[in-house]
Amino acid sequence: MAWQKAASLSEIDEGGVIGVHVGATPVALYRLEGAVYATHGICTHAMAILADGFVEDGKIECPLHQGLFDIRSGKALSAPLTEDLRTTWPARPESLVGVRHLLRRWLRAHGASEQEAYDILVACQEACANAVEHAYGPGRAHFDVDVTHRAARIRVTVRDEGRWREPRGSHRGRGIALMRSLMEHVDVDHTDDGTVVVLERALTPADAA
Amino acid sequence: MRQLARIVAETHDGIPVARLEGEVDMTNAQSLGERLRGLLTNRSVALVVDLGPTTYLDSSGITLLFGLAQELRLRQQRLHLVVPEGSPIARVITITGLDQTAPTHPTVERALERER
Repeated sequence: MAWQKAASLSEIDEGGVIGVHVGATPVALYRLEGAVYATHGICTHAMAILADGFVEDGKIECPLHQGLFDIRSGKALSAPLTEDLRTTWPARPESLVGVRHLLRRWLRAHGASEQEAYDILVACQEACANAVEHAYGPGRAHFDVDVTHRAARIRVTVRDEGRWREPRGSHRGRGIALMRSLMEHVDVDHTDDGTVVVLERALTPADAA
Repeated sequence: MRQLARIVAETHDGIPVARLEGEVDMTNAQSLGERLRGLLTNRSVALVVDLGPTTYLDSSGITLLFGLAQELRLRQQRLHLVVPEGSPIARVITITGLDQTAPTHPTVERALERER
């Protein structure tokens, strides 16, 4: 195959991506730290144009379902976020940032507005913080975060196997109040086997927002 | 990668202004609080905390700011918060009533005007 001109270097901003065609093949061109990289222009998952996606930290995020690829190697780093989310985390404060970033991407992939995603994120983190702070003595130290999207409703379930302790001090009390104001439905069920917090909220359809 | 918060501090007309850039949660709220307190001297009349570049703030951050507002009030100093219009964190600040304890302003400039 002969060399073909795809684009001029000046057309790609540092840290940016453009979509071009080489013959009939769509190609996404990236510029990272001065070097140029190319991948197929269409996401491997569904018909989405990768050049419309979001470049961050050497990765391209597909605009449709937030699949994540390494730009340099082309490796798929994260599956499309179309399915229900079922995750397990160590019951440590450091887990919160991971829960937050995954949940934010998942919610955005499911059509939540920035404000809706933010509100659900804060509510979910309050439940996770309870699992981390209160639920555990020594011993098992994990909690689960499951999220579903059914009939335009988001349902977050945070489950741990520790014993719920009533919030102490104004901090956690404030967290619970916050959780209740941000979500439409909050259910805290604690038994000897652990605690399950269920949070629910409807999403506003994008065309009505 | 979205990062946990860092503080970028400046002084305007003798008033410390702290830009809180990034995310605040239970892992960093306490150390951020210490950094913010360190910006104040006995001669400071006020502290401005700019939440414009803050991408995440939950009850641990809210509690930090409530505590800071209270401490400053006892020392006859004032805490001003900058919360741009349309910022997703505005809702959390209203729900918890933090805006009733520390006045909020849409820009740093507007916050500083209140101390002139």
